[in-house]
Amino acid sequence: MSPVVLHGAYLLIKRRRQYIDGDIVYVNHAKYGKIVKRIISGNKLNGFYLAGDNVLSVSIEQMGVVEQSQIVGVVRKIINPS
Amino acid sequence: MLFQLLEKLDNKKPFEVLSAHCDIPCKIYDPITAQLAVLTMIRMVDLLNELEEKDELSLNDKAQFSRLVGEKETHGHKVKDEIRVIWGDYIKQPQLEQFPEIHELVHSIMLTASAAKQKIDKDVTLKLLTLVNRFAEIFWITKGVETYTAVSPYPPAQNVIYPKLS
Repeated sequence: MSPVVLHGAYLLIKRRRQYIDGDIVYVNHAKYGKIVKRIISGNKLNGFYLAGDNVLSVSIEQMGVVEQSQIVGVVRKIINPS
Repeated sequence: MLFQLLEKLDNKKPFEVLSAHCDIPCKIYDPITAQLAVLTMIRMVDLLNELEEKDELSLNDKAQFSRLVGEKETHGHKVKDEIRVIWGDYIKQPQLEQFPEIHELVHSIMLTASAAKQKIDKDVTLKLLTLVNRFAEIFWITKGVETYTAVSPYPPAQNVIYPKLS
């Protein structure tokens, strides 16, 4: 998620009933485990597509469709190392 | 200071650890995403100018206006993000020696992309395309790939630098 979330950053996570495009979310992913990515598109009925901000990050295709139930919460605050 | 405080707390009672970086050096870079984002900005400006020609805006026109401006903003960010990543992660000393202009070019792209976001000004978006095309040209030359210029086969039908791939 560089350059928005730097290595070692602390994140304040908040559970929500709805998530929207652009949200950075904490996801429990079957393949990648506990991971932070950004919602590119989607909704709670059809699932979400996620990707990292960095081009080197895992792609939307690699992440696959993520169900709302896999989303733990949205990143409300990022405290990067100072 | 907040970070240091959290760090102390973390040392005493560790927080949950998440991964944010699946950043594998896969070496996949391509300036086409930035080029397409500029083309989108130009197209949004064209459509906004079409709206301006109307005497009065209906509710749908107003909604369309809002969407067009929103998309122009989003793609302005995209141009900056895509160029920054290639510049930051791919461009290194050998490429800089080959093209000493890169730093200044990237800075110009940042400034021009911001200007293109701030205004509905076709000239500025066209200037941005020229700069991003030059960046793409440099990128492909450093990869040893020849380039050619062609008009994009869709609106806004502007000149784009493409790699000559066999």
